Amino acid sequence: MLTPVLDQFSKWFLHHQSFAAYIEPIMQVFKPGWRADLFRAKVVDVQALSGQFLSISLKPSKKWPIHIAGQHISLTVEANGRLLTRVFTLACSPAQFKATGLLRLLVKTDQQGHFTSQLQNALAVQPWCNISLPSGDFVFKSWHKPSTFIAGGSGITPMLAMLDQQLSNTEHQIKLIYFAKAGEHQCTNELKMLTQQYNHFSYVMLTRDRSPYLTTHINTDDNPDIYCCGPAGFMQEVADFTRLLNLTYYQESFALSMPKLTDDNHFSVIINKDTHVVTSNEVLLNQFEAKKLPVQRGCGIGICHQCQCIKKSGVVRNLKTNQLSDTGEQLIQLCVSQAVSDLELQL
Amino acid sequence: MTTINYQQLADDLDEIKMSTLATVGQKDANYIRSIVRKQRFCEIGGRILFMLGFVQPLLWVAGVLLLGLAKILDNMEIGHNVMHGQYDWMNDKQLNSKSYEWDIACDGQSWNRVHNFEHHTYTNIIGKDRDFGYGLLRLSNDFKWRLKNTWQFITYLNLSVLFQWGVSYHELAGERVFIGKKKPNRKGAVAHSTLKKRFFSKGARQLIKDYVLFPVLAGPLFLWVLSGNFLANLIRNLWTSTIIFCGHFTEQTHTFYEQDCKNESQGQWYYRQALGSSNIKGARWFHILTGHLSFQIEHHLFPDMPSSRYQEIAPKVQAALQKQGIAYNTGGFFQQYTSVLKRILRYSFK
Repeated sequence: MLTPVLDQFSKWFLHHQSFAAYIEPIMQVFKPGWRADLFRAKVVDVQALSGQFLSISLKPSKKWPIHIAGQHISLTVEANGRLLTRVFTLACSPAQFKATGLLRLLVKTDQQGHFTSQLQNALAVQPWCNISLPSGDFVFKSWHKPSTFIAGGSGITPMLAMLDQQLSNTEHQIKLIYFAKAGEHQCTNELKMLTQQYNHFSYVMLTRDRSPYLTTHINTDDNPDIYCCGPAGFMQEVADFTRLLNLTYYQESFALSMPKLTDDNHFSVIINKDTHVVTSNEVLLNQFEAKKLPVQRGCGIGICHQCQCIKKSGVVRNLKTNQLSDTGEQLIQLCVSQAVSDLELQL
Repeated sequence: MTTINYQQLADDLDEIKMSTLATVGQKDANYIRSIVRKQRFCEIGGRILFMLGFVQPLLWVAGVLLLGLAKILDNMEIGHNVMHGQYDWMNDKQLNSKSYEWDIACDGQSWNRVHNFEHHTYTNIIGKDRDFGYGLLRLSNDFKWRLKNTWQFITYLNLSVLFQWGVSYHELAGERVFIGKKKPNRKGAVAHSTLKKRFFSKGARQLIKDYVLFPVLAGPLFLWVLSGNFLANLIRNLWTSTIIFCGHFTEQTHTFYEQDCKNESQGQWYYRQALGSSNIKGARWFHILTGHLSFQIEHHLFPDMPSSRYQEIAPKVQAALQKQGIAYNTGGFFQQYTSVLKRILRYSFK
């Protein structure tokens, strides 16, 4: 009752979207890392695993609602003053969360990446981070028939959560086909324990170079539902296979495929749900003006921020600084931005 | 002017910019967040102290000063700089140029158009930069003398007292929304109806907040709160007007002509920015209260560099300008303000 009134008051008179946003700087004095539109989570443990993986344990605030196995959250950390946000699938089931009060993330770090390369250091100095509500519909739906999980690299994370949650809820066969680089398979002890506990669960751990066909180990005679999570090309191969055999297929994308930049690259840009094609040999503002999109031109040289818009996802190059942006949400100036990948923008 | 190596000037200033931006990070984020935190404490503290005025009037005086300080911090160090995009790199939803709205009668989007674009792109170009004299004051011989210029010192005082409304009305005046014939060189980016709607909406909300809502909520202390809000707004208006005049209208600031600025290089653009601005010397607290517009030269050269860095780069900027024989106009507050007053008076007459 009081919150909507205070929020409206804040919008009209305090010029903030909510009362929580207005008092955020004060709340942070008492609760470090508190943010108006996100949940606070304490960084309990960060462990480096093989294959440049990090296992991160977070204790979210009591208000955080329980998730469904397979769902993801956005993780926001402050790294050198910059709030960086990325989406990660939770690698724990709701039951595990209830038992320990902790959420687990398994993150594959990339030294070339803007986010994961800084993650371990950022979490070492920032005892608090922020998480969003759980979301996503990559959840288990096959209680009444066999299913096969196919994971590539860090695509194992939703599978771990789903296996822990669902093995006790179904008697049908569940098989996990887990691809990773040699020596980089994660949570193998957990998987071994699950096979001991549940007769209807089995798994194989494979590496791409020794098993070049992703789909070799799928038992198509069972007509299983296929759940796949891994790199884009990996999932495409599995998707094509399942389409051919008319199998039910679910997938979760988690990585952006980054092509090499040449002047003649073409990229798709989603703007307010419409898709447009842009080239990388012209700044975005000029191209949007030519398409008569509702953009505002200011100085045209990156000073006045009139043409600024929100990039929801994708990478642009700032021609003033020659720096690549993050892949996540941030403000960009269209007049000095060159597309480097497919983009989603909010004008 | 012919002896200036504009390419060298651009290279030197670009180097200052890039090397500074490369080090921007946690320290700068902590700085602006600490200023926002102080602003909130001042605003809430000031409004609470108003209510205690009946116990001890000095508490009311402290409340006026605190609320005035809160409005100055909000408008100058936070609002002006955040809306310039100086802290967009932080990715903070509360501190970015797309969403920030300040505690002043002027609609932020309107200010962005007129100030960020028009003033910072066409700085001191006669006929293009309406900030030069605000269409009210004759501050150079580039403008024809008119009778009304005789009493422009009074006009200046009125503008200072009502400064937030001057800033608010600035774009509407330029677009001739209510009175006057539209000038041929103006291409209005926004419909008049939108300009009017946002002008009245923001202005009304500011008036209701300070002169109706908070006083009414104070019940029997209505007048204490009403008068406190009035004085806090007045303090803010006088301070912001004075600082901005010192940064732009000392006797030393130059004007430029549109034909001279066609196809100007980066170096020539820097040159124009440097000569179109004046700095004010002072202590650290003074710089913060001016929103670091006491480093107006640095601000005009690098409008989207975090203000927390202007003091640090000022000696390097001065050296780069001196290398080319370009004046670096700076002085104490009273020296610069006296110079402003002299200029207003000087051009009151033919």
